[in-house]
Amino acid sequence: MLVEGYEELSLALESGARPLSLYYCPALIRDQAQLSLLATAEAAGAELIELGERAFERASYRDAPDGWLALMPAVPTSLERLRLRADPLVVVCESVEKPGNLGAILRTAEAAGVDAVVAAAAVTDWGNPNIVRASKGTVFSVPVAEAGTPELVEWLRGQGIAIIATTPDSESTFVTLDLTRGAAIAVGSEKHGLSPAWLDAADATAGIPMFGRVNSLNVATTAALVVYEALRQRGRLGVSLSPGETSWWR
Amino acid sequence: MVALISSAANPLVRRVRLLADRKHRRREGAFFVEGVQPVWQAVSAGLEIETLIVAPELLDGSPALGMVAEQEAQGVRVARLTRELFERLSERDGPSGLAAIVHGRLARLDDLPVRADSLLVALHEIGNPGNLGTIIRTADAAGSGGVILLGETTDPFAPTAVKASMGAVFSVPVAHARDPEEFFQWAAAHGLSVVTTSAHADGDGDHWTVDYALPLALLLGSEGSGLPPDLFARGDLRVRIPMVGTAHSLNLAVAAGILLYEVRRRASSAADQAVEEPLPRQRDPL
Repeated sequence: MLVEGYEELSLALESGARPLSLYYCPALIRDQAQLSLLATAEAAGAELIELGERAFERASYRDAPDGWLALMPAVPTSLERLRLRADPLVVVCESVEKPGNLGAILRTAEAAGVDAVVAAAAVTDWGNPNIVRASKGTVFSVPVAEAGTPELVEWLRGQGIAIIATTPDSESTFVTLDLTRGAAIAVGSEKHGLSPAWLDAADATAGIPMFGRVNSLNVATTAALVVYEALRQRGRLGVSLSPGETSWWR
Repeated sequence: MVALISSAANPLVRRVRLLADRKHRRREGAFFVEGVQPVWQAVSAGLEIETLIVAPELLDGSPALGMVAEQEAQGVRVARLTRELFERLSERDGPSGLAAIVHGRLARLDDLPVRADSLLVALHEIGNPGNLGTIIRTADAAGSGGVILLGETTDPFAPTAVKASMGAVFSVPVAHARDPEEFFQWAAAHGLSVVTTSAHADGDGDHWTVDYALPLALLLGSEGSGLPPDLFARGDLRVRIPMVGTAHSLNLAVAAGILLYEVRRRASSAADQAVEEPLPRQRDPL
């Protein structure tokens, strides 16, 4: 896959991505301080290739290229290569469309030490350049995968991971669920939420109480609330409170 | 058959174009809202509608036509456009055929009601309208009484913010403070404790262990640089969202959501386990 732009490339490299080759165009690079990226990329194993302005503009997919472009190995997305810890925490994104939301979910996953983020019935590719940007490069450091819904449901069951479906229609509040065992927190598309296939496959549903007028939350916010509740219950971050202490939240 | 407006030279078209510019929105106290759901939300939130803009060909068969007829009967001006002209005005790929010019402006800090159980969100120099809209949406869901913008920020009435708010911008009051000083003075005068947050500094502890007491205002920094250290230090309570990841902090709207819901949970718990009723909804939008 191609990653274009100084900011995107810096983030990718910081996240441990290893470009195959790095194309740069001195005539287009505005800030000379950016040139330190060359050494970083070379240290990560990239072949450095200088291009003239015309050649670079032909290779670029931007209107106003900034002189930085890299060829990266595609982000691997098979389920089989995921390595999960005991009682893993997985986030499933069903048909989540906006790169901004997928990027925010990846940042949450990295901050929270989530084992994997899996796209089900994906409509947006993990290699989408806007995901690289919105994820601040974490698409290269958080294990991601992609699978069809039936295959993924079967795989999760095979691993003994409970499916927790987030839905506004749930009768259980997310803080009352026991999230201390292996759990896959499933969130659905911006427009329609989770499909019946996921709601039917779910071992439990999780709702988030709403005190105002809106009847749903942003998908990345929803995922983060449930992920952080799981962390809180697990004491992974140094604090442990048991579920149910907060049962006053209906 | 009513004659449809088809000319881009029509004053209405010019007005919509001007409202794309923030300076005009601010000066005129009006903004452009597009889409069946957002327009419907603005109407039902009781906002003053200057003009409903309809493309009959696109809106044909929609239940929104009933709402339009009702508004028209109540004296709201309705402008009917050809499909072609509406599509030119629209910022969307598949326009729904309904838009509106709506009156609304930022509240003043002093107009923001503060009660004993108020939970507010203050944002220092937030730059991304999508994040702002999402935070307003989450604030509404978490029963927050308002959002406060500090300093130079993006505009909650920008189309992206309105859309991301899912209509919450019509019901959650959004106020503006010129600078942090005005905000801190106002907070102190109203007995609000200010909770500051940082991804990097330790402060008084992480957000699962500190004691939150209402009324309070969460203060978050910008997407790029977070809260400046001097503002972080001024918090009555300085909290951190725990993270195991490396350098990359959470998305701003996500961080706001985690904090809002944690405060809502813990503050309610401290107040009384017998809080049976959801918080009252916000009235008097904007």
